[in-house]
Formats: sequence, structure tokens, C-alpha cells
Amino acid sequence: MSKTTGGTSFWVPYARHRGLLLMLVPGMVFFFIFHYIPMAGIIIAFKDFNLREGIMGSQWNGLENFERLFLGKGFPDALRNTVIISALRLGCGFFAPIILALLLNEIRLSWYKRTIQTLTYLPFFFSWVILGGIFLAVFSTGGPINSIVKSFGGKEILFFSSDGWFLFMLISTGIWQGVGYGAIIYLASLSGIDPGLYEATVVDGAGRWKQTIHITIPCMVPTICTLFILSLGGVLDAGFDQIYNLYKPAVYDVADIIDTYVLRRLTTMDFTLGAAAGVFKSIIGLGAILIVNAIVRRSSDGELGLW
Amino acid sequence: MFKRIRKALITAVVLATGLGIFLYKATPKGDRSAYEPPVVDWDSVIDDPNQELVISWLGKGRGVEGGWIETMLEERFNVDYKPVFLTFEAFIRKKPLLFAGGQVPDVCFEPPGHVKRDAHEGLLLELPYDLIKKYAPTYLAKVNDVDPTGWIPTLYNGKNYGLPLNYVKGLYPRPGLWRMDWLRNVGIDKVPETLDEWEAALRAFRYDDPNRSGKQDTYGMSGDMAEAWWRSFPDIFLAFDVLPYEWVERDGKIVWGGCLPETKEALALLRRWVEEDLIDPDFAIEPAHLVEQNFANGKTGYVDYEGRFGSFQLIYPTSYLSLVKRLTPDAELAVAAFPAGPRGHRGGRIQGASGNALAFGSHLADEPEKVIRVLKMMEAFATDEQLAIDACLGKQGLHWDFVPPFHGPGRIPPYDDRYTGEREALGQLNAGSMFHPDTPHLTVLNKYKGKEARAYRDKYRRLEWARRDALGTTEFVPRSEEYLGDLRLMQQIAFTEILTGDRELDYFDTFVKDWHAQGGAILLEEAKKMSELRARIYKEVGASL
Repeated sequence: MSKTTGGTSFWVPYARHRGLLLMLVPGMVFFFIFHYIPMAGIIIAFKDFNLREGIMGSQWNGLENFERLFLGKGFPDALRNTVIISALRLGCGFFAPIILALLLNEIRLSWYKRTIQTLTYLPFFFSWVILGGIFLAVFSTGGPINSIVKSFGGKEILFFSSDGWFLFMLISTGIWQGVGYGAIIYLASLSGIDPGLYEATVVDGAGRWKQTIHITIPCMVPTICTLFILSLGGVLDAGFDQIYNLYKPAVYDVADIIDTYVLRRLTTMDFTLGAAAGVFKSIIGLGAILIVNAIVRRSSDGELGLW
Repeated sequence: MFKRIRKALITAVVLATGLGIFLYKATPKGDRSAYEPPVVDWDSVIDDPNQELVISWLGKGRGVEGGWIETMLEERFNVDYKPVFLTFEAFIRKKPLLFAGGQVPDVCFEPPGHVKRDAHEGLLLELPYDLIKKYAPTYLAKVNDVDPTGWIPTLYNGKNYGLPLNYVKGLYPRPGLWRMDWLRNVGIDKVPETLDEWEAALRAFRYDDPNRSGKQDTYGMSGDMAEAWWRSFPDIFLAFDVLPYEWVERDGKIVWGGCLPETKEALALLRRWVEEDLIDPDFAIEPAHLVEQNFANGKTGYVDYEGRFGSFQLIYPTSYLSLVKRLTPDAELAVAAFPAGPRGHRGGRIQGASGNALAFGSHLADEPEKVIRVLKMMEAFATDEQLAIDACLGKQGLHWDFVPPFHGPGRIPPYDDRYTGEREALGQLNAGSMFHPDTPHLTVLNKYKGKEARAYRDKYRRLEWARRDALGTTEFVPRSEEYLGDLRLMQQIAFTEILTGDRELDYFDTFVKDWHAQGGAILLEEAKKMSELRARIYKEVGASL
């Protein structure tokens, strides 16, 4: 069948934009090599993987690895903790970058705005190995925070060894680290708002607050929805780096998540269990995305959502 | 747009299903236990010493290929090493990845538990006892003499897969350190010897201003309940005659230390000490290095495990005495006595001198002469004292010499710089080196140890105080890999919660029930049978119980 439309070849638009398409190539190659090819490796989740025989040579064992995963001691607790921590992160942390972006958007002094943006963006670049050590030292009983608490006559707080405080520290330090980075995409969406809309509201007598409520936030809703749906894909990713560097047996009952649970088994070369956990997390994540996307689409009459 | 994505999704699902079916069909099915490890007819293998053998060697240690020790051994044994240097931490992380990527070396250093695991994966070659007896009889006798428990972790499915390595340092118990100046400041003139005396000292350290700062800024002691179970107040538990995280013997029977009533007694005491603030409340989150830092920085007055000869030497800038004197110039340290408990028990935990091993890749079934060459090498280390010393320390006069003030072996310039020494892959006499991962026999070590260091060891680290796992090493129980990690973690959590007051002391009884229900009972049954297995192995290798 001829690929022509009104005499124009199917390939003409592609040829016209070949520069842009070429720029896509490195990214696509990267994703293909490092994200798509390794996906074939998930078959070890269904195998009695043996190093000597390799992925292809190892024998199938059906859903045995999943059975081991689900029936393993501590898995229900790890799953519960993962969901709780994820929900807390989503509930407390999802809106933080939006608020920061809105606040930054209101700053008119550009040097001040840039400085704040850089300062909030900076923690994202520190690894949790370093941050973990810093937080443990700063919030220990002999650290500066407890010294302040004690100087006001308070009793020292065990920030990282009592369950409630640990969760609080986990969520708050997580927000502190990621808020600046998370705000970037919202700032981008804010810059795309038509200034004419603001001018119209000014004519109508709206102040900054009303402009934010009636123009800025509604214009951000598509971005917020998209990011919210995407973040649900990682509903079972409760933040391994952070937890691994902060948790201790004293708080395992609230801090042991699927990733840390699996890691303890990976050190004994139990790769199949890790793969089974990965597949499980992906399926749950995909399911969450599909369901929430459908809900968002339905409630917005098809205007919002990923597709 | 929606339709297009739906079409793409359907296509992806169809393709993935197709790929899955293809892979399923293309992969063999059957029972994994059907795998038969390669068998070598060792009687027909001839190792020609004139033939140069290329040997890939995965070890634990820093270094660069082509160092003095490596070259010396290559010339002596006509081999060409292809070494892979990894620090211990990197080794634990990277070894599984190397093996998963098919890079199994000819010879591999195996930490405790790894031989069983790698043999299970079919990656190792069987190393029959008779072969070791034939080519390395003196080495075998040395292992039997120093610590024959090393033969237990190298056994898998009734066959031996490794050559045990000794780590002589692990035989001596390590006492703690007291701040002697603090003790004097609170009116105590001698090192505490009983638990009551300990409690009095710890209380005074918390409440009687031992550092004379005018503030209540000190604690008695700390411990690592966060990461290292073996550093969770071991001296206190041993005053009650228990190793809480290991197998112990009671009335001739093997039992789990953590489930004994004596453990509950020790927990009750520690819980009271935590309640009364004698123990640093961060004990639940601080790993060992912070426990040590707290002592060095004058936050605590006692630290366990650090009563080594080197801790008192001011010539070492990072020795404990140097560190505490930096903050308090007239600080003094004293070696702790293992505290005597209510029934007079006392002791220090040791890991023993066994656990590590050398193993050979299963692909050597095609080049078995390499195995024989390495066995000959290990035999030479056991019989030729000079060779063993050279292979550990390097060349005397070039890399090391007997150095003042203690006249023990020490690196000399420029190799006294840690990184220069590591580049040459130089090791230590009592810990071995990359190419000599074993330690020489005690009789050899004693000759090279400085007089003062030897006297210190004989006075404060006496073998009679050493307490160890009743089976040698806990991991020796066959199904320990399946259960032990979770059980120890469960115990760490339960004990931490009891000590911090999150749970009542009687929660210990619930823990004991849980321990048995969640795999402990299975391990216990196996542990009981280990005595028989050990006797059988010892008989085969000629070791005495």
C-alpha cells in the first residue's frame, strides 16, 4: 500500500524533522540497552536460577519464587510498612513541591528567587549515605538538636530509635531532600501559563491570592494529575536509599520495607527472590497507574490523565 | 491518541506472551538436583612443575598486579597469577556479581558460608580429603592443630569443597577498655572485676561527673545493638555464661544461647542499666564505629573489644590512648577484666580461627593440575617458615623489619605508608595477605611477635577466657542460611525493644516461642546432629575433638 497522503510521502515529515529525531536516538538507545534488554531478565523470577547454567539454562519453577516471597517471614510486615511509608510520602510529600513552586513563583526579585531555588535544589545531589551519617549525628542524643531540647528543660528525643519519630524523620528529611528537585517541573508548567489570563483577572480586581486560586492552580492541574498518576507507579518504592541508610533494628517493625527485606536475601545470592519482588512491585505499580488513570479520565470527561 | 496507546499496549502484551512461551519452550525442564558435579580422576593427574600455569585468583585485599610477593611466588612455583584485588567490603558486594557474570576464578577466597552456597550453585570443584592429604599433609595437620572446625563449612552434600584457612587472631578474647582517670576521679582505684563493681563504676560515670566538666554529659558505656550482634554487650552476657546469638552447650546438649533463662537474667540487668541511664540511649542506633568514637571523644567511660596492645601505644596517632589524650592530656586507660557474674562466670567471645577457605572453580575439572599446584604452594607455606613470612609481609629489610620500640615486625619506609604498602599487596603476619590468605602456625607467629606484645596477650587475652560457639561457628548448621539471618534479626529487635523499655521483660518468653516457631526448632534439631557430623569429618581428616 502506498504511504502517501495527497501526494506527500509518509516519510517527508520525518525527513523534515530529522535533526530532532536524531537527537532522540541517544536517549532511545540508552533506554533500549539499559531498560528494555534487562527486562528479559525478569524471567528468572519464574526459574530456579542457577549461576552455572545461566538464565536460559536454568529450569522453570512456576510461581515458587513468588510463593517463597509471600510466605517469607517478615514479608507481610515489610509490605505493610512499604504501603504506609509510600502513602505518607504521597500524602505529606506530594504537595510540598507544588507549594514551593507557587511560593517561588510569587518572588519578584530574581536573584533571591534563584538563590532559594538553588538552596532547595542542592540537597537532591547529596547521597543518602552522606545524609544518613549527618542526620544520625545531628539528631543523636548528644547532637545539637537534642542539646537545644535539653537546654529548654526537655527530655532527649530518640529520633531514630522510636517508631513514631523515625517515621516523622523519614518523611520530613525525604521532603527536605526532594522538594527543590520536584518543584522544577511545576515551575516549568507555571511559566507556560498565558499572562493574558492574569491581566484579565487584574482587570476584574483580583489580587495575588485570587489569581493563584483561580488561574495558577487550575492551570497546574494537568501537570499535577500527570505527576500524581506517575508517582503511583512507584507506590511500592518507599525510598530504599534513605531507609537503608537510616534504619536500625530498633525500628525495623515500622521501617523494614520490601526492598530492604529483599536485600537481606540478595547478599546470599538469592537473585530469584529479588526478581520476584521486582515483578510484584511492577505489577502493583502498573495496576495503580491504570486504575487511577481511568478514574481521573472518567471524572474529568477524558480531559485529564496519561492517555 | 487513546486508541493508539491501547493498540501499542495490546501489541506489547502479545509480544511479551509470545516471548514468554518461546523462552519456556527453549529452556530445559527437570529437577535441579539431577546436576552431577564434575568428577576428576586425581590419580591420573600429573602436575609438571616445569609447565607454567596461569591462575586467576580472587582474593580479599588491596593491591596492584606485579607486586614483590606476587612475583616471588610466581617465580618459585612457576605460575602466572591473574589476580582480582577487592577489599573485604567490595568482595562481599562484587563476588556475587562476578560469579553471576560467569567470571568464576580458578582460585577463590571464600568467607564463612560461601563454600556451601557456591557449591550448591555448582560453581566449585570437589576437593577430596585424600588429595589434600597427598599434596598438603603438613598444611592439613596445621589446620587440625590450630582449629579443625574449619573443615565443617567446607562440606557440602557429604563432599569437601574447600581448603580451610586459619585466622589465628580469632582465637584470643578481646577485653574492653576503661577510662582509668575517670575511675580515679569518682574514687575507684582498681578496674572493676564483678558485675556489682561494674554497675558502681557505670553509675558514677553517669552521675558523679567523672570528667569534671560540671555537667552531666557522660555515660557509663554503649554497645552496638544496631548492626553487629556480636558487639551487643558480649562481656555482660558472658558473665551469665551465655553467648546470646550462638549455640552453647548445656549438660552435653546443644542449645540456642538466646533462649536460655540466663539470657533473660542478663537482659534484666541491662534493661535496668538503660532505665537508670547508665548506658548511652543511642545504643539502639549507633553502629560499632560510633560506639568507639563515643569512648574516644569522652562521652562514655568503657568500650568493649578494644583492649588491644596497640590501643595503649602513643606512637600510633589513632590509638585509643592518643585519641583520649588529645582531648584530656592526663587521660589514662586500663584494660578491663571480663566481669564475673553472679555465679562466677566470666569470659570474652571469640570467633575462632576458622571459617574462611580457599576453593577452586568447577571449570578446573579440565585443568586439575592447577589445584595440585596450589595445594603444593599451601604445603610449602606450612613447611617453609621463611616463605610463609615473605608471602605475608614481603622482603625483610625492604618492606619490613623488626622495628622499635616493640621489636615486632613493622613496615619500613616507604612501605609504612598504608597506601604504598597496599599497592605492593603486603599483608600482616596474623592476618595473612592476598597471596597467602592463611596465618602461619602459632609457634612461628610467636617468634615474630614483639616481647611486650606477647606478654600483653598472655596477661590480658588468655585463651582460658575465650568463649565461642559450641559448634565452632553458628553458620555450620546446614539450613542456617535459610533461617539464621531472620532469627538473629528477630532476636536483635526483641532484645532492643526489651532494653529500651518498648516491651516488658517477659516479652522474652514470647520471643523464645517465636524463635522456635519460625525456624529455630529446625535449626536446633540440625545442630544436635552436628556433633555426629563433626566427629565423622574429624575422623576423616585425622583431627581430634
